[in-house]
This record gives sequence, C-alpha cells and structure tokens, in this order.
Amino acid sequence: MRDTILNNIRKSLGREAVKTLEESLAAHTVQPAFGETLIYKFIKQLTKVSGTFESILNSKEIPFAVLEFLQKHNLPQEIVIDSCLKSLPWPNKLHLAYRAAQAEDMVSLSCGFAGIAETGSLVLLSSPGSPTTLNFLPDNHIVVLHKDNLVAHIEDVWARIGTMPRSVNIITGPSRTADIEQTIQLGAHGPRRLHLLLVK
Amino acid sequence: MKSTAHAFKSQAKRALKNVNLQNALTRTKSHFIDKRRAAVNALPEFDALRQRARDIKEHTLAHLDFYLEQFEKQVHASGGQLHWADTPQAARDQIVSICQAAKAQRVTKGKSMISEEIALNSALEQAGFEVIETDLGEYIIQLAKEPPSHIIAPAVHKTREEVADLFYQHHGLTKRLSEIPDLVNEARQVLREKFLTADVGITGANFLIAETGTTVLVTNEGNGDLSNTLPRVHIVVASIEKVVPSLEDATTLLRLLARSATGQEMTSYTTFSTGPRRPEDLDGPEAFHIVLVDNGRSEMLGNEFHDMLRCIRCGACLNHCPVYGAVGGHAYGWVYPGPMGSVLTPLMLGLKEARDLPNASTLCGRCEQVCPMQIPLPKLLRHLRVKEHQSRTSWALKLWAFFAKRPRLYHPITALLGKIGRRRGTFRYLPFAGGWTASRDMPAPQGQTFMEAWKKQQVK
Repeated sequence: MRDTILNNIRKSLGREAVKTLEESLAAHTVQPAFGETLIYKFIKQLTKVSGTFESILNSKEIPFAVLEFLQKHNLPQEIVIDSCLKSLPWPNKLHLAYRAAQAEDMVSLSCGFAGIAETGSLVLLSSPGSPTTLNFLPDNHIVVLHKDNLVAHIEDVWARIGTMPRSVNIITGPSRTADIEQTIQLGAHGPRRLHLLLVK
Repeated sequence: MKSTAHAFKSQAKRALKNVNLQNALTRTKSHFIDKRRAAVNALPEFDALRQRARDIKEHTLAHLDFYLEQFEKQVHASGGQLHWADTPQAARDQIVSICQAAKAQRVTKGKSMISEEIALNSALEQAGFEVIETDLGEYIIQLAKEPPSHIIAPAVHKTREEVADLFYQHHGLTKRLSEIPDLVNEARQVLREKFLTADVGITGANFLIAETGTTVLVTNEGNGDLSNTLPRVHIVVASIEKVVPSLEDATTLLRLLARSATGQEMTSYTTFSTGPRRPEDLDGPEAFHIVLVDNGRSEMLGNEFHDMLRCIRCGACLNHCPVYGAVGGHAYGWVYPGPMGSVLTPLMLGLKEARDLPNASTLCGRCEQVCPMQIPLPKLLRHLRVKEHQSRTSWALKLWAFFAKRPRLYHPITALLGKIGRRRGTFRYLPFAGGWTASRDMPAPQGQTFMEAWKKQQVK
C-alpha cells in the first residue's frame, strides 16, 4: 500500500525517488508586525478572546492570587496542579493534587511555557509534571506565566523548544462554540474560564 | 456517506423552498463574510502570507514523496505507528482493525472531513463500535442522521428549536431546553461522560509536520483535545497533502486558516501531537496511530487539478459563493459542498455521479478571490465542464455542427429561420432546448442574416 501510493506520487511527478532534496524551500517567514510593546499587545489579544489576567510582582504571590480567584468565583478550595509550582508557600486550607485531571476537578493550575503577543496565546507543554488534561478537563484553568517568557510571534516558540514534547498546546482563550445559530458560547467542552497570572 | 450528487438539481429546488434553511443561510452569510473581512483588513501582511503559503504548498507537493517518507520516519522515531491507505476501503479496514485490536467499545471523534470522505462512522458501527461525534455541530447532525452541510460549521442549517427537539428526543432529560447556553451545556454534560469512558479517540489533522512527525489539530471547543488525550488509543486520519516541511511552515498556514474560516486570528486550541504518552507521563494515549489516505490525490498531482491539492479546508469559498448561499450544503449531495466541493466531488466520485456540480457556479470568481491558497476554482470548474461536455455532446449541437460546417446548407436555413422569426418574434418552445424555453422565450432571429448583410455591404 505504502509503495503503491509513493510510486503513484512519483509517476505523477515524473521522476524517481530522491534521497535528498534537489532544492529546499528558502527560509522566509511573513510575520504580522505590531508597534505596541510585547506585554501590551499580549494582554490586548488575550482579553479580546475572553481570557482574564492579573499581574503579580513575584511567584510568592501566586497562592494568594489563586485563593482570590477561587473566592471570587465561589469555587471549592481544591485544585489540581502542575508540579512546577510545588515549592511555593501554599496555605494548608487549600487542597492540592499533583496528578492528571479527573472528571470532578473544578480548577487546574499550570505553568505556561510561553505567551505569544501576536495572538494572545498561552503555550503549554506536556510533561510528567504537567499532564495535558489540566488544560482541558476542569471548568477553570489558571496559568502562571513569567514575563520573561513572553515572545512576539509563534515562530519564537519553536526556536525555544528543543525536542517536541508529546503535546504542545497553544491555547487562545477559553473553549467556545458557534455551532448553534452562529451564536458564540464559551465553555463548549474545555474550560469555561482561562485566567492568567502574569509574574513580573 | 452515500452520494446524492446526481440529484443536485432536485435537491437545489427543494432547498430554495425550505424556509428554515433559507433563514439559516442568510444569517450565516453575513456572519462569516463580515468576520473574515475584518480579520483580513486588520492584517496588512495577508497577501504576502498567501503568496508564502502557496510557495510552501507547491514546494511540498513537488517533493511530496520525500516529505511523506520523512514524516513516516519521524512518526516511528517518536513511537507512533503510520498506516498507508490508497482507497477509502483500505482506510476503513485499517481503522476498524486498530479498534478491534484495542478491544474497544466506545469511540469518540473530533470533526474530520476525511473521515466523512471515507465513510468511517458507518464502517465502525457495522463492526459493532459505538461512535460518538463530539464537535457540537457534528454531534447535532449525527443525532439528526444527516450529513454535514458546511465543512467548518456542519449544523449551520439547523435552527435552535430543531436542536432543542433533537436533544429532548435523544437525551432522555425531563425538560426540553431551548436557550443556546442551556443547549451547549446539556451537550457538554452528555458528551463529557462519553469522553471519559471512550477507548479510542479519532481526530483529523489540519497539518502534518515532516521534520518532527507531528500532527496539528485546530479546534475551538476542545473536543479534539479531549478525544486525543483521554482514550487509550488515538487515531489520526489525514490525507497525504496535509504534510508540510516544518513547524514554521505550519505556522504560516495557521495564520491564514482561522482568519479565512471564522475570522479568528487563532482558534482557541491549536494542538501539536507527537507520538504516544511518554514513559513518565500521567496522561495521553498509550498508542498513537496515523492513517494516511490517498483516495485519488496522488493522481491529481501534476495534472490539471493539481492546484486543488493546496486546499486547507477553510470554507471561505463556500461562504462567498452565491450558489452555496442560495441552496446550502446538502444540495451538493456529498461531503464537500460549494466551489471546492464542486471540484473535489466529481474527481473523487466521477463526473457521471456529479455532472451538475461544475455547472452549479456562476463563475463569478469570488471563491478564487477569497481563497487563502490562491486556488483558481473557476478555472478548475471550467476544466470539469469541458470534460463533462466531451463526455456527452447533445444531439442538437451535433445537428447544428453538421450544418454549420456546410455553408451551402447553413445559409439558406438561417435565412429561412430569419423569415419565420420576423413573423413570430419569439419562440416559446424549441426542440432540444427545453431547459432554455421552460423559464424564458428564445428570441427569434430577426431580419437579414449577417452573411446577407455582409454581401450587400461588399456590393456597395
């Protein structure tokens, strides 16, 4: 089957198999230019797609910001969490679970690998400490991002990733659908809320 | 799905009289067109991106065998399994046997047009699997037992009330909900249970990346991600022309895709999957399969329909087509409607089945104008018209050609028609031209023929 298809392709192209390319595609990217600063553009784009954010001064403030978020939305004091945040001074009353997300989890917290100013997107990489289900199962997804990890364009992310993890998730706002009468509705299957904690 | 493309004319007539459909089409048209226009106007680089995207695709197609082999190598290196399928039957068989080997019962699916093209759902159901479409639009039409009517908004022809009836009938809940947020929520709850208990997740791919063996999937709902993260086995079905050389190349195409489709700069979820779960991972599929489908594409390479292989399935040509806008997607009778469908359907099913589709176009050229991949759709439709015409020349034309090639016979007859015409003015009915005279009169030839007038002129 494989050879039939490859041979058909070669027949249509009128040539034999090639070991190396006789001509490669000249490197050239067309990127949307923007005059604003990275952070300004990023926040503008993130909020345009219904993401919410809070700026905090340092990592130690993350637990407080998380508690505030839970309180504001009347959520239980339980989160499923990325192990990159293990060393933070978490209060005892907050129940933390370092595991893959499950059906009953309401809130997840993960570490963003990068933020893309061009599109207001958050980039999350799968790893043993950061299971992909954190990004999709709970109704509320909180992402921590350090300001240094803001990049201008999508290509900048590829330059920063070494080998590809199993899953690279570029997340641009919460889950949405317009499948009933073209009316946009948030929270189709993935998180209803996407909240960013931007650490300066 | 079984094609009814041969019945385009009667289906189009019915569609024009369907009030619900006409309302839905009016709503859709402005929605898609306005949003796309705003997104394109906000990006001065749009045309440069289109040019670059075309170059990327042309380069890849010219070396398609090379990039597919590179892709295969990388998929294997990352622990995935690659299967090749030259026909829809071969693809169905492979997917069914993967599901059987996994001892699966429940299969959740993300929206995938190639899976519609190969009629995957019915094959899986016949083999005894429970198949659940999870994109909200696909789920709605699965309940309604209908094919998609739009490649990116499959249930665009359904009203909220129709969806409410379907959900009430199928979900067995005590209350019939009809507000949109309630309906979306109801589907979320019902489908959440399916995701969590599925054994196999099947998705399509918007792009395949040769350098890394990665599949790229673009969604807004997150259903694709639940399908490719939760079940034990993930199967990606993709056609061979989806491959691009690098992550950077996919990025260029992504900048065009969402803007052209929904007017978004980026969809909510753009997911790059490379291989199965890694040793220490806590989630993700244990097995990662990719089924690469040809189904006639390798033959389109380099022939007069080659340009069509650049298509990234954004749906912009549907949204801007006056014919699609009037009759909707179901009239076209198969998986792909609108201008792109009128090219693909005859190529995949044969002109005999789909002979009306290349004619279901005014050749106004809007499709080509908005196509992010610069596919000359009107030209391709004309190629098909020529082919179709060659396959059946009408008796009337043959008769006309017989006379036209014999001036001594032709001139007296046209002169005679001119004389009759002077008396009658118009013809209400003409033999062999019922299609014309059914809705309008044919003006009769008036006065002298051109040749008579020319002769007179020469004498002076």
